[in-house]
Amino acid sequence: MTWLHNATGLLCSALLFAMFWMGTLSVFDREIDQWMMPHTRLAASDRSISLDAIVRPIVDELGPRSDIYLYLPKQREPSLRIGYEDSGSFKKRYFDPWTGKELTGRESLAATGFIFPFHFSFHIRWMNLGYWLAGFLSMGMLVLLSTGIYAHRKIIAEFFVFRPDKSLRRSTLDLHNMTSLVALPFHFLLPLTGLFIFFSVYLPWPAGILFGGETEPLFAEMYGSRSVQAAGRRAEMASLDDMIRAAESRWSGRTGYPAAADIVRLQHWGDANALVTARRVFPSRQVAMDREAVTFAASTGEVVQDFKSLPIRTAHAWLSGLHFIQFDHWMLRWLYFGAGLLGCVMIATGLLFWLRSRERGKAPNTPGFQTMAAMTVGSTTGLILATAAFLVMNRAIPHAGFKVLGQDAASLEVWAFAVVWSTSFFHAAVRKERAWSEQCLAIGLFAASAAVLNWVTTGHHPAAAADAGLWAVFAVDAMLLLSALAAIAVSHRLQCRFISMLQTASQADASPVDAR
Amino acid sequence: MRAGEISARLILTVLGGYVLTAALVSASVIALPWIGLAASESVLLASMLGFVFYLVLILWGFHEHSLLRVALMICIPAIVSLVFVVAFAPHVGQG
Repeated sequence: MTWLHNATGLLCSALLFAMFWMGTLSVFDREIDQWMMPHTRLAASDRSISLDAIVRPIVDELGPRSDIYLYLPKQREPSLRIGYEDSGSFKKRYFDPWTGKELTGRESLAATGFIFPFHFSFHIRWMNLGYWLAGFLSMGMLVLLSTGIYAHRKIIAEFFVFRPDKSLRRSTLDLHNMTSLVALPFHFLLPLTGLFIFFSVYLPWPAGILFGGETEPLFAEMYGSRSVQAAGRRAEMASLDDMIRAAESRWSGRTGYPAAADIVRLQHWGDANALVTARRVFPSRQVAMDREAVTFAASTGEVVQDFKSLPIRTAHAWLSGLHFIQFDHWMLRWLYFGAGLLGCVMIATGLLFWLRSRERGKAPNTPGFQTMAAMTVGSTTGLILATAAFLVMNRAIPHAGFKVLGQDAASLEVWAFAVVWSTSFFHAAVRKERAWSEQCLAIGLFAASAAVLNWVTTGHHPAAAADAGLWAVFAVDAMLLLSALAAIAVSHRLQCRFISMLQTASQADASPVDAR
Repeated sequence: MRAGEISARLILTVLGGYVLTAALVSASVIALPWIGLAASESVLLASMLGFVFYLVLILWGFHEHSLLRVALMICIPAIVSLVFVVAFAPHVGQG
């Protein structure tokens, strides 16, 4: 079991750290989105919007389309988003929900388009390989936790032990045990519910066996989605506001508290057969997500279907909701963020402990050890540095039309991320032990310049952002500045330690007899 | 553990275990509607239990001393479930 713990750890840790890191950032994906796309920065409001006044003109202008999705403004995402298929790609457009004015500006994949998908697919689309990799790593995480409890059998007793002044190896292990145990249920449930969310990817054969090998009819049954053919005749559409209000009053009648629709699907809008489906994908006061949908015939406003999920799907929706945490609970959101960071520390200290245990003796000269050491640096500080570079690039090229080698601003950010991340591995291989403090220093500089660049390009320095009610911008900036301070402090400490280590080593070399 | 035995256990538990899990989940997906579950509900229930089963199977595969027992406990149920799936899948699929 200990062997399995070490082997799985060595194999999975580097990529697991990336999954944990990106997942932790995804907890605040909407906030990072607003930071990275300043044109969508709006103060949150609780007023409800009029779809007939604001959305009607936009969707009427779009013309007949099989699907248009309306993402209604929420506390964490105050703009109105409209998404539809457009010449092969899914187009997202942002609007001011009070005036209907389109919010245009520099496009970016931001957190929901880059960080969040990275968390579960590593942006490897070929043959769903990214999903499979994430699934393999989740399974690896579960194996690591189970075997870890066995490998560190005295974990409960050791939980209260932290010996920062003992040897570095000892305190690394203490930190590894502590971070694992303090959030153990979180570390266990998140990979497990992640596997549940993508069950049809990981177990495609059972998922399709009753549905002719297709997943579409399975999902239609799970989510109550209906398909419809266009009649080819245009018809007058009923009031969207009335339909949404009818759906919401059905839901609040069942739950006893106000319920708001958040995603509205318009199928063949403008056609005689058009359907409107109102969903509560992320209910604000409920863990379970996407359990209810009311579908209307758009031409009459009559209810066609009032869908409520079946019992096992409800359990699945609850477990998925536990993973997505899109419900309104700020304290829990911060706890998730903290637990995610603890997970990152757990993985990093696991790798460090493995390295430190093998540092003495002949191991440090073997290529295997050197590779593992460089991997550890690149996959931890290197990844954080790459994320900071992603943010810096976002604010460094604030203009929409900017292109380099045919790459637009949004892809240049991803390039910055990829180049910095891969460079960090080479840097670690060349600079060895020094790479830690140098990469920490770089993180500090990058994070601080991201915050400063945000001020320069948008004028929203933290105080101004707070004053304008842009708490998302304020929080992202505050986090960047805190991280910058922490990274620079760590870099300084590592530098001092490294210098004293060199001095001890040179003294030992000068008088080998005395040193004994 | 010797390298040969480790590779055998890895292949048996990780790959063999996946085949066994997929086969057992498929068999359950077919059988659960017989006790009145909707098709999508049986897929969800069996799949979710399947992930837990797979995890326990991997852990057991490395805990159990006898490699032969691991091999038999994975291969025999896998074959039985596969036969069950092949025998019953088309009928349920058409019905």
